[in-house]
Amino acid sequence: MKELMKGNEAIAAGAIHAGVKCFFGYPITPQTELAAYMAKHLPKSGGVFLQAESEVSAINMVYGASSAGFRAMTSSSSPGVSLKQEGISFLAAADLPCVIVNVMRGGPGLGGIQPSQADYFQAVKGGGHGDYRLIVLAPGNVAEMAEMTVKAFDLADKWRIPVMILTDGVLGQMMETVDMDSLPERKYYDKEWAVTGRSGRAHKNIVKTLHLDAEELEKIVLEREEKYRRIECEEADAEEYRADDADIIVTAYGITSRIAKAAVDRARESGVRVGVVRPKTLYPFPSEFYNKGYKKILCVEMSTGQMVEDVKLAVKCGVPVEFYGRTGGMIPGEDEIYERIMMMAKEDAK
Amino acid sequence: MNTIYEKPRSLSDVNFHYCPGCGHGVVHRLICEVIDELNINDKTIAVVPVGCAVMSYDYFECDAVESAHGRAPAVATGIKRCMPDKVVFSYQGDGDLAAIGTAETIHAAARGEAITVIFVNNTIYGMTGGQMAPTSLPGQVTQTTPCGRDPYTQGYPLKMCEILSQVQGVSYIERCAIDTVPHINAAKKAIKKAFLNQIENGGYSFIELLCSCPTNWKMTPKQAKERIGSEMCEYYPLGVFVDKIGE
Amino acid sequence: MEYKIIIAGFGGQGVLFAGKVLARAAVLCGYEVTWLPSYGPEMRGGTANCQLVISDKLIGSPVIKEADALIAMNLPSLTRFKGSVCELIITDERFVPGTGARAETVGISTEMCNGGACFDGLTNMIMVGALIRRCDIFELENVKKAIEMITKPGVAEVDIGAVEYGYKKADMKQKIVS
Repeated sequence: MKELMKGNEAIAAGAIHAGVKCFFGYPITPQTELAAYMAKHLPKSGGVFLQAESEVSAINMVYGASSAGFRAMTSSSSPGVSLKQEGISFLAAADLPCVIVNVMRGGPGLGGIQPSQADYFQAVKGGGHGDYRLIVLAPGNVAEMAEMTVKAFDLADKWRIPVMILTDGVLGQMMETVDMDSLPERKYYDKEWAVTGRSGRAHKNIVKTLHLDAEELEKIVLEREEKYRRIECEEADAEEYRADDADIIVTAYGITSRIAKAAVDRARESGVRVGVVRPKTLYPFPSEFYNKGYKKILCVEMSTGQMVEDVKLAVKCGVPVEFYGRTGGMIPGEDEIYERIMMMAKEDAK
Repeated sequence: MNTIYEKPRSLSDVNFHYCPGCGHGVVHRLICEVIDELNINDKTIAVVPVGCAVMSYDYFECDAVESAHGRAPAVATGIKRCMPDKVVFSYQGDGDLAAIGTAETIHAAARGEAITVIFVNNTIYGMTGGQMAPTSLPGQVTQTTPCGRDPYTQGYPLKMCEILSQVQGVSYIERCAIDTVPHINAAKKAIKKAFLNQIENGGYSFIELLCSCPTNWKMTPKQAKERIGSEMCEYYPLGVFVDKIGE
Repeated sequence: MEYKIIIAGFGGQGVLFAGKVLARAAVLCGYEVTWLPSYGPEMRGGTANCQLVISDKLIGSPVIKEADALIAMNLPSLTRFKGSVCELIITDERFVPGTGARAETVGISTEMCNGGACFDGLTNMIMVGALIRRCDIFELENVKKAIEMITKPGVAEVDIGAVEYGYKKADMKQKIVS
């Protein structure tokens, strides 16, 4: 049945569908509905909801639960996710699967509580210390928030990696229909590495991140890099919208991509051959989607320009890449994007 | 031939990296003797800290998780909440438990998590070479208090047993010392009681152990043991602070 | 077809709830819908608003620049949003004089329902009733069904009564200012 749900609630419902055992969180706007939904519904499905004393504790509780082989998650919003970075680095270093949700708000610092996409660098380039990556998923609507959460848990287990769902205050707060019956079934993975008490196992299991021998640490980090390369080959994904015959591509993720689509529809009516490439995975970045003979690319973000750097890397300077962004909680308008497209089309005609 | 002394089965057959006269080795042994006596090796998970005991996952013959600095109670919470039938203990030093991890310590206690916290208090940061700890005594000379700890500028040492006694969620708190044979025997009794409290009552226990760090105290092991019995026991009195077991 | 509605008023007047009723009703009518609330400190005692986009195809932006209809439950909301509405404004009849909006403005007396809508907290439902009478998007039956779906048992009846009251009131055209 189609249900009307907030994006934050859809993530929580998706996580319960994916068999999440525990949720550890701390209140912060605009993600709080996620924790509230979990508090109400997770115990009913035999799970554990616990409000932690801090963001730092919450992510470390996730570390503990994940060490024990259970599906665990936490959610927060920008300043809270900064606090979690220590734990995220440890999770990555211990090859522990988990799901972390960031419902982004304007920053830096306390910033504001209105929607933003200014944590892109933090999410896809590391965030915490050390050589590591997260898989970063960017849902574009409320239904996808539920669906991608199921996928996030599967990817986390498959690759033994923390997965971040990077979304924003608009998608988190807005209601839209979700068909919970059409969610994909969760997958199961063996976790023979989990610390569950030895009970009969010949060897003890240790979850750790310390390797004092530099040669050993380099080897482990490089093996993980090798895993990241495979993830890049197998998991990069994007949606193409009216891109078949496009000269100009508008690229955006999350809420911004929807506004971009509306602007593209209008520009199409004005006769401009323009389409949208919407990354669904931000790491791995879907680079090949940008190399299809387009003449110009416009990257639109709710930031001062972060994903645009990956777009430029993707096209290797082969295509001019322009940027349009609003920040601080401002949302780019359909007409602002439309005007930018028309300007680019006009320059093209010259 | 009668065996009158042997290594506990739960203690790995490897050499400790600890300095001569360090308290960690004794505490490890006591924990492992208790695990053996309670026959819980198969269902015990150690949560180990950052600090000198970081590599204790190599010494405990049970499953273990190494946690970030100060976060052991949070990590232990995550494990225990998923597997309430397992035995989970955290092993933490003074910097870990009473400085960078104070929030985690107090709130795990407030929730009455069914875990056992083993707190090794040697009044100094050992792994990093002897800096002031939250439990360093007034006047104690360390690398970062070269003129001795002055409470006026560097604050007073935290008495964790006394602080946690104010927290309702705890069910058993005791402070023991690792200096003399009677004290060590008492410490083992306390550790065993703490593990049993977790297994039988699902209670939160906190055992503080006053330990020596001869290297960073710049003392001989013998002098260090004497400091525990004198200066340390004076500031940190031994005894049971809370015992609500069976209530 | 795409129809955009802004609902605004004081926090506590049921702004978000009115939006949820209309969103649910739109789904029952077979439309796609997005409901986007203003959120944050302004929810507590200040002004609140929510934005609804209703469409027969997938919705692009849930953020409304120009709305087709506005429900303004207080004067500050009317002042703030009247310039960005092109078709229809539903508000309290006391706010109508001198509105100066380009959209058709329907002023509803909200004081006569039961013991007085303001006291019963029913202004929102009266306005919803008036709105659905004046636009061709919703069927009254679906709005009633939506209320039954999202309210606690026993509450729906009162809300539905207020919707019907507003629906009838909006039929009388004497309060319209163009």
